[in-house]
Amino acid sequence: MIDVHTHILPGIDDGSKDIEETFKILREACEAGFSDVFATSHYIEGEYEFNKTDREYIIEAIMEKVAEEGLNITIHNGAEGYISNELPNLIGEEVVPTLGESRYVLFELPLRAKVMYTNEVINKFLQMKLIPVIAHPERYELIQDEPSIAIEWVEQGALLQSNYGSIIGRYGMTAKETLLKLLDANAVHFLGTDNHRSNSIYTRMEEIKKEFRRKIGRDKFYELSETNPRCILNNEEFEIEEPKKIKRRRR
Amino acid sequence: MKKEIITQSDPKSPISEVFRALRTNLQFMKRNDDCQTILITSTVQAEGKSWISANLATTFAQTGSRTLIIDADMRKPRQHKIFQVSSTPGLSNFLSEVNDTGRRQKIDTLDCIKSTEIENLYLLPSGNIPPNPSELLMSEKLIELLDVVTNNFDVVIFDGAPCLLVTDSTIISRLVDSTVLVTSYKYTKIDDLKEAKKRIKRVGGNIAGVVLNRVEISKKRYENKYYYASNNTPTVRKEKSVKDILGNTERKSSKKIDDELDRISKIKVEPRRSSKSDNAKIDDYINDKIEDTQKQIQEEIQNSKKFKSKVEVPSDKAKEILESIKRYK
Repeated sequence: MIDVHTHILPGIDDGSKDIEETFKILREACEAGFSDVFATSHYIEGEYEFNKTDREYIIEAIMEKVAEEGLNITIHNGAEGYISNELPNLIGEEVVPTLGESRYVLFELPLRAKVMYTNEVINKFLQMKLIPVIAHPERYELIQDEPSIAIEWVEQGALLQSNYGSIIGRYGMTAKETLLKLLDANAVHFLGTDNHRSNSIYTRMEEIKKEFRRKIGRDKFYELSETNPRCILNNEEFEIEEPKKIKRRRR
Repeated sequence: MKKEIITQSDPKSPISEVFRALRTNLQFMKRNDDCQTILITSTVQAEGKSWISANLATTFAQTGSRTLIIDADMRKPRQHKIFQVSSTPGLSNFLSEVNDTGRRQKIDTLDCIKSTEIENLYLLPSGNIPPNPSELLMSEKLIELLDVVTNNFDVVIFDGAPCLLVTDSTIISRLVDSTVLVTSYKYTKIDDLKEAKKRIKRVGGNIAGVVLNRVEISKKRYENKYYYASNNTPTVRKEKSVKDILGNTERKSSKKIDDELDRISKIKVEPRRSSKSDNAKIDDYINDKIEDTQKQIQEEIQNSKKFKSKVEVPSDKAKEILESIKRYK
């Protein structure tokens, strides 16, 4: 499996706090069956601003230690950008990295505040010949209230990355229900752990896998956890199926 | 500086997050219409105008924009208390040409502007409390003031008086690029909001949207540690939803206010940008050209710098992390 969303680099954001914890997490990831992980530490202007180069150096240093320890896992560079009007420029100027130097860009929205310019940002990325990937849509209040907006993003050209933990209610029942609606509409394209700590999500993967297979079937789960993420690794595009419509709740 | 400026004292809080979203939402509206000058007003008192003005201005300043708050609530000024600076000389002194000791004296706008503890954020306080704020705001001096501040600042935010009680804010609304109405959850009356909108529209003001303040948030919904709950959460809505909120109830404004609104809408405002003579336009054109060339040169310099530093080194913070990784095991 390939994890497209993690916060495992030490001391860069609110994820792993030191190198000891990073290695605990990496061992857990191997154990859970991951061969590749994208280190997508937050990039939030004025808050977490480690640039692409910093991340490259840090990943390189960690990978040396990974080899020494003989762990069978590869870390790829990346970032979870925080939506802003500057973000596309920061990606263009290579301050914020894309996912593993590919054309895929991972970014998040505020969980509660409702931004009204997501479509503009998606468009800007598309104009730059990049593929926007929106992190954990099921966790945004905007989408919980109105899931059809996520479908509109997909129709516009964005892809959606949901969190493994959402299926077992890690972010609450509303997030779980929203994820199920999105899965049902065939609008989820990648799964990621969004792992911030050791002894958290990786140690519950068995239960999570079971739940996903039960809900969407073995093949679909393989697609979301392995086939599609591999396209990011190889920097290839893939055909997506048309998402089903979700009825608007309001208006 | 008081704790009230949460966007500065706790930039990671969910409230600050909402303010950043509000800022960017306003920035994105800019494309249709210029959005350099913003008026914050409300229907009645105590809906959170000053708090929202101060925090919104702070988030603008944090992006590096030179930002000015004008405390245009000359009846109950608060900004000087929030930022802990002297309230005089200020807006009323400039408009009335009476200095803070009561003498007639022409006062320069820029002399009234005070810097704050926040970088890029400046305050034009209210000045001495005048007997006739609406009269002062109707004078030509206000247009003169707008000219000076728009030439010197990237963003100008007016913290206005409530617009149902007095006409001060209505007067300002027709001069600024957009107006934001602050409402308070379970406090603002829909009729009042409708009336406020009507008045602003009537004098030709442009409403950007409504901020819903003091929304209660249940803590349970947010299990993620660093997004904790709070009591004050504004969100911005598009103008479309103003109509939704407003319903069909109508209320007659009193005759006196009606007359005053008529008077306001009849005062001629020279449009700031189109009033220039042809010569000035040519000057502008030449200046723009010069600016473009300068920009190009600057860009070239920056690019060459980028090229030089192509062998990029890790930042100091990253170096610390790299050291800790090397020491591991």
